[in-house]
Amino acid sequence: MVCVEAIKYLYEFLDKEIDKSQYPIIKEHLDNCFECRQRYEFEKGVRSLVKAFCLNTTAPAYLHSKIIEGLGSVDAEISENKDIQAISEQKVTRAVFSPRFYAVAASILLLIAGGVFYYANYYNYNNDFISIVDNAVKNHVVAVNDNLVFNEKTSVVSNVNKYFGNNINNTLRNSSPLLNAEQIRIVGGVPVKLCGTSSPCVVFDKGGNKLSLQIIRNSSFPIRNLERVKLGPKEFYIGNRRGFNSVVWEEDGSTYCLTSDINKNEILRFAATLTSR
Amino acid sequence: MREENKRRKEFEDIAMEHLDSLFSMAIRLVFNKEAAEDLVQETYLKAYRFFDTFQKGTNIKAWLFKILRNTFINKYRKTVNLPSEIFYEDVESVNSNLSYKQESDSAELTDTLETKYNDLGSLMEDDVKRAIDSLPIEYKEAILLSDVEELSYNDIAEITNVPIGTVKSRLNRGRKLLQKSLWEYAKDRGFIKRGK
Repeated sequence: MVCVEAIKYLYEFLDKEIDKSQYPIIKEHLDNCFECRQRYEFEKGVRSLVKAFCLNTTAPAYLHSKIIEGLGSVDAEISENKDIQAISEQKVTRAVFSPRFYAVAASILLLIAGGVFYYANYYNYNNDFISIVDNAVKNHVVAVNDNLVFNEKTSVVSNVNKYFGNNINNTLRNSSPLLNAEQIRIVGGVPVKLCGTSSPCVVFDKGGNKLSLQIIRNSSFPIRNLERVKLGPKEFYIGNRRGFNSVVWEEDGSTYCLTSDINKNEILRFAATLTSR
Repeated sequence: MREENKRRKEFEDIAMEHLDSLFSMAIRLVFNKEAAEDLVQETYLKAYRFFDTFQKGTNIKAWLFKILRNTFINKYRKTVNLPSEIFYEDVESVNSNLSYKQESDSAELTDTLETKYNDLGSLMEDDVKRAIDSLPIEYKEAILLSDVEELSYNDIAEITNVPIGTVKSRLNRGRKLLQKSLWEYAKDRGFIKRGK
């Protein structure tokens, strides 16, 4: 082994990333070559300086308890959602297993025949507020972080692009406004589960902030529990879950839901630009 | 309720021990104690919400760092100048062709490695801080994840969302930059007695 080669693999050697078969060869060279060993020691010295400095930085004690407290509020949020779900499920169960035989038959028939329609009502009448804003936020977080990976290929965004084709510029790096109302309108035949996690969801950037726009087709417009805001000729509903703001509005029978962590006024104003033609 | 307690306990057991590591990285990213605290807290809450998506048995530290990084980018995208990969990779390939000999023949490396090594001891903590903080962000994160956190190239590639080859070249170039500025600070401080 010559010096050039040893030095070439020096970092990998130091990082313990070197191939097992190479390790003894390089080690032997370092043991026997004064110049390379000096270099090795120097690299190690710099490394330990950096490490010592960074390990010296520790989190303040109160941060730990602040986070633990935060986990508690996340728990509370989750169990609250579960309770709501449990109530709605209970309702369905009762309807299906009612002692009156007819009711059972009717429910089953309704379930089969009603299909999606029944599903829609179930959502709308029991927890429209929860499902719309909650799912929007869930989708937003998933879409923006893509399960914590920025990967346009596997993300919800690409699913949407299947339907939207080239109308949508999905290059997250490009700055906004990327979309206008014309571009996001759904043209027929898009399979959309109501309020489900597979609602089409488009993520885009507005001056560095990620926003997601979800389109929920054929849903009756939810109003309960949502704050109503009138902006120009248009009415918007605004909800907040987990620190994200969602603006909901209706247009041509579709419900649009814009979600982001930017502040209420800003998101409203942006929603307004999406609706204006 | 019991199930939630279990989940909570599991999270606290395996995630909270990395608080100092995350904080130390956060403060090197945002340069401000309060902002770093916020960033770390946000990271933990996000991680807890998505704890179900964490694959048991994989490296939780790497997972947490990834969330930290994504949170940081989302929050500070406006102010962070992310490099264009192609530009840096080009620079990389040119530099890596320099052999060690050529390098040590170059003017800046006239001092022997031995003096250089000895001089490291005279650096102040503040110099190290300055040298790390002035690194371009993609070098900085690679170096911190590797040298301080001792994560594998594979984990670093996963966290920073680039191929392993890019991790290697970032480490290569980043470490050289770091050494260079450390060396310069050492000279500036006048701790170095030349010709001794």
